[in-house]
Amino acid sequence: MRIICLCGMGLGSSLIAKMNIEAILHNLNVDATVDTCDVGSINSEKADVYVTTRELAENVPAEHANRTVILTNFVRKEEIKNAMTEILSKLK
Amino acid sequence: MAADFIRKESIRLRVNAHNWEEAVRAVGRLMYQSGLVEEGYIDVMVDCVKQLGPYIVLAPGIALPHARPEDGGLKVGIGLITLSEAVPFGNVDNDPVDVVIGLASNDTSSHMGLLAQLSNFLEEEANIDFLRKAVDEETVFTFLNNYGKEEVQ
Repeated sequence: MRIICLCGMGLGSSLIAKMNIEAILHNLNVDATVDTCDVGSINSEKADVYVTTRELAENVPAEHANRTVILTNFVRKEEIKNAMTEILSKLK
Repeated sequence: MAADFIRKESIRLRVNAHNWEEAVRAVGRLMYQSGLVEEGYIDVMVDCVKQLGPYIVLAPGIALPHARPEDGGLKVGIGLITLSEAVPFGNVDNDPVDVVIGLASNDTSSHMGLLAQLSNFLEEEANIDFLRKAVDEETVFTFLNNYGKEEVQ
């Protein structure tokens, strides 16, 4: 499974999200690659799940809406865990 | 947090800022003065918020402005300010902001260790409370510097 974290530059919040998601999925025994991506290159990236913020969500192509997770807090692992668990069960 | 990532000179508490741009510029100036970034990096941090929106507010009350390494990032490190009064960044979920942490890196991966520590630090409410109440830069510097050291050793 491939997960993309979208942020403005792919350097700050999305890297934090990537690290936290990797750790959480590892604990959940989910095999996944987590990459970061900036708003400029999102259209050419294919993934099973897209993770982003409310502000940047409009940049995710509409066709991926059902596989997009919007996080409001990038450092709270509990919130990220719940959001990831929910989307993973939806995609099953 | 490793001493190389933050210096006492790049911390300032209870800064007066009237709006988000003043807050970002204030932390940017500290970063410039402590040699983390070139002066032009400050403008790019502001422009990034204007262009991409307030997504840099990554948790309630906490903003993480940054630009790209090629925009004048010289070293891996952070500048940190708290605001005397919180200001809105335009982030629906996490406004208003009173802790602003400016991020710098000289490439796209050297700051991963710093981000991991920062994320763990910011996840703990008690740490944020500590920052909000702090009035002495030296105390904050020591606190940040000691953070996470037990795990490393």
